[in-house]
Amino acid sequence: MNEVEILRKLAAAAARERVPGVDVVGEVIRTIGVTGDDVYRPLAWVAGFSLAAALPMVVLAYNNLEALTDPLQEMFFAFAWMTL
Amino acid sequence: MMLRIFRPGCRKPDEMELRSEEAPFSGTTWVAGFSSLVAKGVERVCSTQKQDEQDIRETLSGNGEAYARLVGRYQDAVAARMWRFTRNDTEHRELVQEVFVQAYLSLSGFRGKAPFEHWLARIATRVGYRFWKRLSRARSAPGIPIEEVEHLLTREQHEIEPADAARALHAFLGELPPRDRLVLTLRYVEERDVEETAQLTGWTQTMVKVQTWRARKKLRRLLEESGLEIGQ
Repeated sequence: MNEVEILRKLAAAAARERVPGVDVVGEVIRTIGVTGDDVYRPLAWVAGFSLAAALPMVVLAYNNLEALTDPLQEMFFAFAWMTL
Repeated sequence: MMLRIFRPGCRKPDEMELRSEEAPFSGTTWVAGFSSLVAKGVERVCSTQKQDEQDIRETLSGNGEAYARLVGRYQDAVAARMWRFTRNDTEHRELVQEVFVQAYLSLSGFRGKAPFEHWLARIATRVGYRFWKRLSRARSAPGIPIEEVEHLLTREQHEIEPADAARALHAFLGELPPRDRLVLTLRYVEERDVEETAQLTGWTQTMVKVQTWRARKKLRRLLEESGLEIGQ
């Protein structure tokens, strides 16, 4: 019996072995960090609305802050607009 | 007796060619009955391929449930393959998991030219090979008394306890460097031809042939040194 015949004989016998069953679905999904898109879809909508509502507030707040920090400049700007 | 089915892609069962080779008898009824059985098998394979394609598309668009379905569909096949790389339950589980994580990370590169299962087999082979390389650096494989191997070889194949055979195979292949171990496993344990081995390893066919020849020589020397009588 040569080396290949030895390998083949043992491999044929080993092929009848029962492989232990594994269930790795949960671990794989946790590892790759994705879930069903149904979970995140409502959150994505809420985040979108929040962003849309927050944007005008940011613009207003910035203008008010500018007016508070430098009222003289604001007055000159208003005057410049009037003369133009 | 050997029957080969030539099936380029998924065609309708009635378009399928069936050729009987080396059959000791050529009864047309037998062939017709067999062909209908094969046709059902082909239909099932095609529907699985379609499901795979759908799940891959959904996974790429961010649906984790679709990937969970793919993992569930192929985890047994991957587990069977990875059992050849380790016989330790914890390592085995980790390897199966690693295959699916690697597959997920490379999924955008899947072109669909070959079935998903074949693509997954390539990833599994590479994950297993890397594992053997890590293992060979860390510690040597557990040995097995040569008397035990001799005892197994004197018995008829069906009389050998499968777990004993697998353990012996694992132990003496574990004495070889990972490259030799991989090529011998694919060529003689999984009975793959040169072309398939080249596809699974990413080596050229010439390299597979050279590596097989070298690995056989090393295995032969190893077995002879351990006192086993090796024929020509």
